[in-house]
Amino acid sequence: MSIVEVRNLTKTYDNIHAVQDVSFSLEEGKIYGLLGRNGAGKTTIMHIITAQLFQSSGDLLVFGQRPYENEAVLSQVCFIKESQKYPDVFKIRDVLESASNLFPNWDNEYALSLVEDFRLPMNRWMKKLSRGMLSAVGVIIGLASRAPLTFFDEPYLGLDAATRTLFYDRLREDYSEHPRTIVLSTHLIDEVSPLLEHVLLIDGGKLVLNEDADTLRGMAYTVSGAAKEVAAFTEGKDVLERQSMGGLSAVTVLSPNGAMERREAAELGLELSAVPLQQLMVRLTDPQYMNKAVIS
Amino acid sequence: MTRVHGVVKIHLKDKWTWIYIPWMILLSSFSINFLIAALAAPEAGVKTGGVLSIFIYMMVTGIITMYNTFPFALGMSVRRTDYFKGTFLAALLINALTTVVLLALFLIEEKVIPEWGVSLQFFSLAFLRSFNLLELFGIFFLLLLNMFYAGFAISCLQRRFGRTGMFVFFGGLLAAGSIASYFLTANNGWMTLFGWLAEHYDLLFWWSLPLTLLYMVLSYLMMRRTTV
Repeated sequence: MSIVEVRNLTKTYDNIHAVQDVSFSLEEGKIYGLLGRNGAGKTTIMHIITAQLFQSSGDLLVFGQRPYENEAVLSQVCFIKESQKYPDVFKIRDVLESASNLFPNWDNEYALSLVEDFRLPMNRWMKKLSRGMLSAVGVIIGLASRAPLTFFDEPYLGLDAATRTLFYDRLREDYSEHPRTIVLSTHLIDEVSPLLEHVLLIDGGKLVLNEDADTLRGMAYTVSGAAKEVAAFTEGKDVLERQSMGGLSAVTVLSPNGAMERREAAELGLELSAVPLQQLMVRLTDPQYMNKAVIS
Repeated sequence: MTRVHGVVKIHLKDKWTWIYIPWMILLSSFSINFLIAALAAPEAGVKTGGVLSIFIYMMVTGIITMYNTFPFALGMSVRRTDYFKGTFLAALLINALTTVVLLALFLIEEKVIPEWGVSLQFFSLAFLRSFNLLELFGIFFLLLLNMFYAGFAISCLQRRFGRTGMFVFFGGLLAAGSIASYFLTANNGWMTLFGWLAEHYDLLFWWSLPLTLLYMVLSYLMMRRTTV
């Protein structure tokens, strides 16, 4: 069942199109990756879905209703953003207590266990926190609020690799125990890609890709081997990237029928390897490639 | 717990903005005046409007509280309407408590330790002594609420319309003030105005109520379209 329906969403600021004619839907009980470069429009889209910003045109339904000033919708939504402001005089304790009063599904025991996991000092003022600690507070609110629709916008800024892994682990565990719809907006694609079930790729305010993550993983491959044979094999194919060194070359090909070509390549003695999601995204948002606009 | 209560609790956690700082300012003004009255001991005693400081600071509270808590509440998926209601309840509660403490100090100064033993009129100013307790409660409370919502409306204006909005509004206010002052001067209106005020100042307290309501309505309308 789809819980978010976005149709022809457009947001314009002073003649700049931050979001242009974006349409998609989100289904219940899935983890989405909202991917794209900085400034692509990801945050704006999430702000509009959570009624914190207003669209210039287009329509959207969240849990079947318009979200603006709608308690039935907003009480089920949690949006954790990197730029979240907290009251100057609040300590971590005050922020978590406030969140526990505001989110109907809040699990306080779980929140406290996360505070221990992330080693947060409950009595420290919010304005004295490091970037990483600030992010950890957001992560805790996002997880413990157990909102049926949860957005994490670049939730890991300032978190070290170990803490980021902790976040991904807790997210995975809690998601399996309490299934809900989670949207991870990020540009650290490789780290989150194992979590993602569906990918929305935004570039220049436009939705350029809306695809199941597994399908996407099978959409491209890198073929490597002797330059000549590789060139022959990739002739006429949709090439994303070409690298060569001496007589060898490696070419990344975008192809919907990977399975058949895999056999062909094997017969030619060429090596095929999977393309990491991150690399695929970078290629797909490369201006040179974008002009070809192969994916629709 | 409804989310309106959640908003009230956010405000009650912010004791510095609502309680500590206003009282610190008021009490430091009181201490200075007390010292002057005690040490310099002027013959006529000391009559001061220092108690006004807490009313003025309540306007600052209105400005700061919006700035501090609105983006946070909205970020926690609170409706703008619920934020407005919660803020209203918090303002009623805290200003009622402030009023009770001010009245207690008023009575102490008037009856228990007359003029603090040093001929200092700080809380029980002469022109207020003609009112009964209920009237005094109304006056203090309505004025505090008025000041709070004046600040709150300014903060909403700033959030909703930004620097340009502030510039246009205060520019317009200044222009309107200048024009009014010109006409008063041209028609010898100042004396009439002050004469009227001297006789009817008690009415002004009650007239702050419709003004407060106006600030509230304007704040609400602006907040409805405010983004983070």
